[in-house]
Amino acid sequence: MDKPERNESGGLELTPVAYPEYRLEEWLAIGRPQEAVLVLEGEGDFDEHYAALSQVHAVIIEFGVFMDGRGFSHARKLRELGFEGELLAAGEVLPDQWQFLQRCGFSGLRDPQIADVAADLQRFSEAYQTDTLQTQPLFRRRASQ
Amino acid sequence: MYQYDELDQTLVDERVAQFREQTERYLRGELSDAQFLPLRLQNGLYVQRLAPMLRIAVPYGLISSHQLRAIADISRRYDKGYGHISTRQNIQLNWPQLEDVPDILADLAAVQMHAIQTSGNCIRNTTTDQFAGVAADEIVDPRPYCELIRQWSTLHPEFAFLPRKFKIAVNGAKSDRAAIHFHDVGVELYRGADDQVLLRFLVGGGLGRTPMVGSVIRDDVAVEHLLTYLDAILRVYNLRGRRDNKYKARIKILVKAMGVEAFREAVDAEWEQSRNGPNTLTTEEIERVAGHFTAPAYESLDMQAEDAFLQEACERDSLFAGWVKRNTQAHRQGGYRAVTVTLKATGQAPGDVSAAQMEALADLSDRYSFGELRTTHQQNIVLADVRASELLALWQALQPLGLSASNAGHITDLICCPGGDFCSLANAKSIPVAQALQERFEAMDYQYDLGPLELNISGCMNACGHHHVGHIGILGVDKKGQEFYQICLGGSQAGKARVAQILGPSFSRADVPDVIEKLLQKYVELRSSEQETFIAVFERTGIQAFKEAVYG
Repeated sequence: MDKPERNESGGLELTPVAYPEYRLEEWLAIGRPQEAVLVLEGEGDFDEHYAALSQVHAVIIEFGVFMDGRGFSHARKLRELGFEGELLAAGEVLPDQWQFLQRCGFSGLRDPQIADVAADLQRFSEAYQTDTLQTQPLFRRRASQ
Repeated sequence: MYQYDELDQTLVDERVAQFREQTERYLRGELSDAQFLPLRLQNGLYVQRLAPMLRIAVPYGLISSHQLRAIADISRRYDKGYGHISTRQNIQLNWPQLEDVPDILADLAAVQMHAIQTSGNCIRNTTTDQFAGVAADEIVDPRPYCELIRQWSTLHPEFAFLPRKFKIAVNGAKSDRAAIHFHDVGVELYRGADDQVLLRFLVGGGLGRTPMVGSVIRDDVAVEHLLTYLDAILRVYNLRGRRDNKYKARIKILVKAMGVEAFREAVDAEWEQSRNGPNTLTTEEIERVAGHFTAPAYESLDMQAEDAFLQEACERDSLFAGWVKRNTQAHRQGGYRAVTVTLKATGQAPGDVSAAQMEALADLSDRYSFGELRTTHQQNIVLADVRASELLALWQALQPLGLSASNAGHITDLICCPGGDFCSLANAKSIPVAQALQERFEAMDYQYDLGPLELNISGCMNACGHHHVGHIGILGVDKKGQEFYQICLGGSQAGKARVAQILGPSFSRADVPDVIEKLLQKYVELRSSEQETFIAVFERTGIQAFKEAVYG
């Protein structure tokens, strides 16, 4: 796994921010356009909306507190449904969470300072599980070695 | 037992490097207490009443003599020369310095050990039957499946920040020694019609503040779906489990709120996506892991000669005979027995084991039991493969170590959490209660006359001492700053899994031994024969007679 790419400001920002940002309710009210950047609360329940959300331009998931791990599952569900746009983690996240966030499908951290610290931290070079970056679990890769 | 390959070792080494960096950042002030908290907890490091406490993972209770010696050495160099076996089969050090923890972890990694996910709101160490692989009543050896779960759960990116801790237990024997009804997820392995291994999943069991017996949500899952089905359960819990109140955050509360049927449907909806995907186990992988748990090189013994030797030794020495009867267990291999070494000597904290004892046990396991040991959730140590004709020599070697007590499964072999002497969560001390009871009941004839009896003590509602499932349970409670003890009866972790009933108003610490003695006198009075155990009498008569015996 590579280190996250950094932009000139040292952080990982949404690039390019081509479309307006919407909260979920606003977006639903205007007919769920795909040309949108969705700002979702990590605490939310998106069961009915994952499929539509996976079609938008970009998604930002805001963590209320870093101990609340729901955002990790939201991200995986979006990626599993084929979401290919940028997916940023915002709000209260720890730089130490970056590798797991990335494995769950996040493409960046919204706060450049946190991203900056995250980029220089120790990382795991292997993982047992599948994730967004690694589609084969370690046991299948071991078997093919 | 499982041996790491390069990839397993790399992950553990990288976790040590990561934790070293996190500790340094914390000590430099770059991480706040609140930020460091989950990072250190996910590596087994608590800050306790007097000092940090480091919980070392003993995956499903299996440890080699080499590893146990390493822990003895660590406990001498970085701690006070002893360790403590926890009720989740792990080993705890009570006095390490925070600054030393990265070095301790590096020493552990050198013997294929770690402290990953031994605390925090994540998937904890998977536990199982301490007689796995040797029990006469075993249907499927649970150890390979425990190791598969260990690998799947280790550093799982999606489930590191769950609503609350998550504990999995696996049983593959007729009698459940892993308490699968009292875990967040219990997995039972059995064989289907054509002998293939099938999985029965229980969810929502647990002790703590709201004790509950788990519910079966699926009982016919083919073994290759072990990990995808677990992923589905965990995802439903991660997304829907309560996070507003830590006392209502365990999966048992979610299952109860949703109903078992709705919970199963939600899990199935997730499973639909991942089932038969890349995480589906392959026969090759199951066989690769199972290959680490093959039987040791048992000798083909003259069974008659083994039995005759043991018989004769028992006849010569009634103390030895009592130890064989209570502390050794039938074995699937003819001529061998599994030995329980109880860590419950009167005057020492239950489950504590000194560095010298660890080293001696390591040597004895090399000599008599193929160099492997097991930790048990009853806070004892098992040597699983001892020749019948060598039991006498082993017992004699245990005597000078203070490890030859023949109380396994009896009242003084009690389960006890560290309690208020160490733990910052506790409402009351538990070790002094254990010691008072051991002093009262250690007179051997009386103790053995009482027959098999499980007595469990917890210092608070978190129930680390499993008081809800003791035949007799004792719970420390705080009443206006004073320590009191509530007593409950009739809990059972195996067979008919059942939560104990509260006897009545609580007692002062000084009164506890008298109250327990009254309960036991009532039991002796009620039993129809010496063969009728305490729990059998309780099941037959109910709690009322015991209430009257205590409260009049």
